[in-house]
Amino acid sequence: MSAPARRAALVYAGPALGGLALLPLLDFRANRIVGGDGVMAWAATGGSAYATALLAALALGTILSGSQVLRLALALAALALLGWMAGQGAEALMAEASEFARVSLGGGFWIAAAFLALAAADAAARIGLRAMVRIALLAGPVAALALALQTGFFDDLSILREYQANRDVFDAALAGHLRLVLGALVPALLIGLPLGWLCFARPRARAVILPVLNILQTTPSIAMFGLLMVPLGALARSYPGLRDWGVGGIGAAPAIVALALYALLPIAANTYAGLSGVPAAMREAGRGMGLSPARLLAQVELPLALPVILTGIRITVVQTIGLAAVAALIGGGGFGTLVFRGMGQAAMDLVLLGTLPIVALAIAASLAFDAMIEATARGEAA
Amino acid sequence: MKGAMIRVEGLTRRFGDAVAVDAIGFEVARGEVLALVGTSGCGKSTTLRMINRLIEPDKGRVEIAGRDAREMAPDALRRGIGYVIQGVGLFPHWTVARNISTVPRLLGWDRSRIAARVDELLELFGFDPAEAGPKYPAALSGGQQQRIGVARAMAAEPEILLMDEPFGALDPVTRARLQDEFTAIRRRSGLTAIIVTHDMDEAFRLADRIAVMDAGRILQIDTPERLLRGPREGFVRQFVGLDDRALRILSLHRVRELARPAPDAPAPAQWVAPEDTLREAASRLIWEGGEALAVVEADRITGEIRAEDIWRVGTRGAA
Repeated sequence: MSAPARRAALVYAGPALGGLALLPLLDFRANRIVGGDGVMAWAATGGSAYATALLAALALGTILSGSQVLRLALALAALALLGWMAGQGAEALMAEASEFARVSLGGGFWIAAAFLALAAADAAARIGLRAMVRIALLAGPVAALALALQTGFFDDLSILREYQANRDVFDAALAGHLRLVLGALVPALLIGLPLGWLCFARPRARAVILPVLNILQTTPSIAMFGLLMVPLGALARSYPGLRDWGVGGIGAAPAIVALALYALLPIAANTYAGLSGVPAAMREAGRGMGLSPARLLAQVELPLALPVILTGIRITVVQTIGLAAVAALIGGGGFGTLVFRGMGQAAMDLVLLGTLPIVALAIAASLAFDAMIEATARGEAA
Repeated sequence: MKGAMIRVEGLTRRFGDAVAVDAIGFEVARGEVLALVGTSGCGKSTTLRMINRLIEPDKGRVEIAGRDAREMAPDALRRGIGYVIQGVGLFPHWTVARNISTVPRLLGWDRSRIAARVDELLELFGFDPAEAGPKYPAALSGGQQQRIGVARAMAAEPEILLMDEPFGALDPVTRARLQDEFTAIRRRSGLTAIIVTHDMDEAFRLADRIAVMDAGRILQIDTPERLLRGPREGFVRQFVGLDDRALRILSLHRVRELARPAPDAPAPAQWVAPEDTLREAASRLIWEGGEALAVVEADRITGEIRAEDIWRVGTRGAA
């Protein structure tokens, strides 16, 4: 293995082990609100000293291993072992505790999990796998996690206790979040793509459009919601029929409008960049052979600009998934509901229950778009 | 010239205050190849692009086969005129076959006719259709891409070909080979063509007539030989280059034009072929010494060529 790759492995495995050594794997609390006692990895259950030693060995293996494939396997094995330790530890702690006691994942767990995941991702990237293969590879750990959740292996962890207590809210939040994201994306695409084309075709329009979108992008989201409340509220008052459609000063409508406005810049800017990146010779040849402007756009310019445009949409989707959390502030629903409720109740596990699905959605969307971008760019590289 | 394929009259184009093309006019006969030569910015590309209306003229008119180009829809006009540009402009996301079929598709040819035409052109330009057709342009060398660019321009069997520095970005060996190939193909197909180039040698090789342009005007338009023998004072003289004009004139003539009869015999060690240029014959005579060379075809002597005849062609006032 090359020296840079080895150094990178050290950067991941070192903090993972350091986190576990210095911070607790689990936090044990007598009830949901009070502060907890940290439980270190090696003290969580009877056999966890051995498990911790094995985990350390696996992590060190990622540094010493000669092949990236082995590194990837070791990192994934270490992640699985870490999950097993957390689940086992929670079960052992809860076996002797009261109904109200809670076991949550500690700082050591999060740090170790994050750096081991980074180690795995780094190894996968160095192998140079195609996006489709990366997706297939990720399906393994995801399936393992789903199975563990299904069989109730993690049920003693407080985050799942929170899930069970708030299952209805969680499902509604998932549906609400997806509605916010899709509701914002569809109009943003319908407006942003033509705007990007307009920026490309009419330099004078570009001088207006892109600065305006830039200003929109830099407006803080809370301020944007506030600004939208007034016109949308007035609209709903003047035309009460619109209320049936959910239009009003608060709720999903202003949230969707705000998210769509934020989505415009990356879509329009990348559409413009993609189209202007098409070599002049292509355009000249197409026109010279008698392609009409519409055909030139559809058959030459858009296909050649597609990877850049898709990159813009990918940025937009990931950004919207994250930003949609703020919509809960004005009653827009989504996973933000869980986050803000958790913050109100000082229940960090509820915050996590809202945050982790957002992260998962963003990663899934990002991977799916990577695969699409790769597929569209392949013809040219061939 | 009656029945000119392309007739240009008083063509003028300004960009801002600068006059790019200044009231120029010329005619190109059916089957003729005209070269527009000059330095960068002399207006030769702008002239070419006004013929297929990629640029609209401010003044003047273009006639294609007797019809005013303005009466035709620009897209329809361009589909009837092959167009080759420097840097090829092959579409990287389409296969070679798809690239070649661009214009036939626009014209709505049926699939079998398109496939047959693509295969025919690939063979004409020295490709194996089954092998080259499905490739993407990135998999081809520069010379191969340039060939496909010319094949694409000829796909819909246009009568006219416009070429803007078609062989500009190639190494000298590949360029010379493509120039010969192009000359052979256009002789066979009877194409009318206008070629824009800044390379005088390319113009001499490819063109029947050459128009030397400077500052948006045509200074002189003539056959290569007349241009060499009687260049106008000033820019033309400088651009045509007179240092080796005798040799250049020789390269415009073939050995067969001057061959004298000679008794049939097996080929000697040193000889020339009837289709070699006089320049090649002269070079060999200088190298070998002597007064004459055998002209050989199929390993038999069919005639001889004499040094004195060659020198006479390259002399001032000949022809």
